[in-house]
Amino acid sequence: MSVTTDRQVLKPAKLRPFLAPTRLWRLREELPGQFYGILATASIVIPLLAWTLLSLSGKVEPLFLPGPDQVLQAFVTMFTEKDLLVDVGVSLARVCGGFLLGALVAIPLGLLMGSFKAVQALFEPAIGLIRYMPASAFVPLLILWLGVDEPTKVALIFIGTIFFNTLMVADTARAVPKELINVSYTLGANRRQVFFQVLVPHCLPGIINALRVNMAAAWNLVIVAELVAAQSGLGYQILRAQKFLLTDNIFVGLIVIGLVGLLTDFMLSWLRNTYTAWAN
Amino acid sequence: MTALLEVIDLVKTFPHKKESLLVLDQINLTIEQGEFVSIVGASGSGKSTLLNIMAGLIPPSSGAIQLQGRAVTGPGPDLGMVFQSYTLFPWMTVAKNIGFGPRMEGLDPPAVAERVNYYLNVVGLSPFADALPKQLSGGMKQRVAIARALANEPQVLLMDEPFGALDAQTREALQVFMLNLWEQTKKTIVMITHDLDEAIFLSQRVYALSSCPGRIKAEIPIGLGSSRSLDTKEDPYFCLLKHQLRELLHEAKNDLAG
Repeated sequence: MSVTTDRQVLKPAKLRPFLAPTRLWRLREELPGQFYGILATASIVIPLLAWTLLSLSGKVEPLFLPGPDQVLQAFVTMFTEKDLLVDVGVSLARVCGGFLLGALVAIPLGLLMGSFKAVQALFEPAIGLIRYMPASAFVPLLILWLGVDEPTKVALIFIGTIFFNTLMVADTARAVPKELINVSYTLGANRRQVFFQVLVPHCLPGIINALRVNMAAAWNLVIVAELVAAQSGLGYQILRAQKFLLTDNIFVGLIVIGLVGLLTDFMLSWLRNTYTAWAN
Repeated sequence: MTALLEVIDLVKTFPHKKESLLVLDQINLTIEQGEFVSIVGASGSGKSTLLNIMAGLIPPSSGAIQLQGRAVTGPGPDLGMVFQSYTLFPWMTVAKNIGFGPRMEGLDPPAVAERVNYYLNVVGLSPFADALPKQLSGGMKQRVAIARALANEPQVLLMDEPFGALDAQTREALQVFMLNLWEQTKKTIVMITHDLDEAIFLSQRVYALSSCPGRIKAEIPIGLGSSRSLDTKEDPYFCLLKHQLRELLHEAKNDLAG
């Protein structure tokens, strides 16, 4: 091995390029000033503007793409004359019913699966298999078993969300640092105390996150259920609007679903920020 | 008279690619009531494993741990532990963290509060009683972890590189803090560290552990007396001890190479 000794080898080395500065494309960094607000506004305004211009240009038949004004008018009519709020309530009740029933099973089961290998071994293979079966494929079976009324719709949402919720909650429980559990033992806590007073509180923010993600699936499925068999609800309204070629009503249905979904998301996010602020 | 804590003929092997890897070989330790003992060793000497076994968190392959002559079969409130990583409960305030052990024990709220206030005062963190762990600096977090372990009034306090994650200045400040704390409470403390300065500065006795497998290479009494300060670290006797200990650990490594 050679050893560098002399000073004359200290020629200035050829420099390789430095990382070029940028304002907008810094990885995982904040944006300068009002940029975030501007871009966020644009994400709503630009599609709205494009929609307006397209309908104003007259190049698209209103039957296929009604203008924003037409949709707004339809919204007002549906809201005041056709009990749109009732349909929202009906769909929301189905979503919440199926989702909450599912969560009531998924949260304890997930916590147990993430905490005890025995429970994991008992449930994970089965759940891992079933979760790949699309929930909507269960519709014929559910109709056969439960009829075409409310139980089928609630059961569809239950099936469609419970497995994902369970697995995500189990992952959250598995992510609890082992040292936190060990230190609790050395402080005199027994297994039951560690489960309820260390593991569960540590999992709360993760559980709320899992619910937020899977709530979107619940909204998907309620519409599937209502498209198949229903006399009320937003999905039913969309199907009815299609039969009578009321394209503007379809748009109202879609937008309302989006808004209500967003609202439930805000609620869960508020819950997380209020009750588990320590995790932020 | 039996010692407070004894490690008797302890052997630990881990399964490794169909074979078993010897991590700790025939470890014998004796810790007397009120002593501060350190175990030093290079990384890979299995010293963390040793402390975890002493805490009852990992079962030994053979041999035994005895606390007051009783076999340690699992973790419990009499073997308190402070880890290197931050292990405070992030959703609890400092006071709630410190009160965790007493609450688990079933003490009534006024008794818990009294215990919490006492130990908050001991570690000098009373003004931070209602702060969350994420609002504290690394050094403060470890002080809370120490207070939390002490508030449970364990027979022995085990510390696994408690200052390992701290910067040099904070580390030294906490060493002085620990020295004062031990002088005040005369708690029996066993500390694992790779920092020879830290071990000599704080301990009455130091065990040197060789690497791969971990064996007790030597047991060195530290005759520095009870009036120690940071200046003690420049004392010729202190330097001699450090030199001796470094040679020992070096030998242990050469044994391995040869």
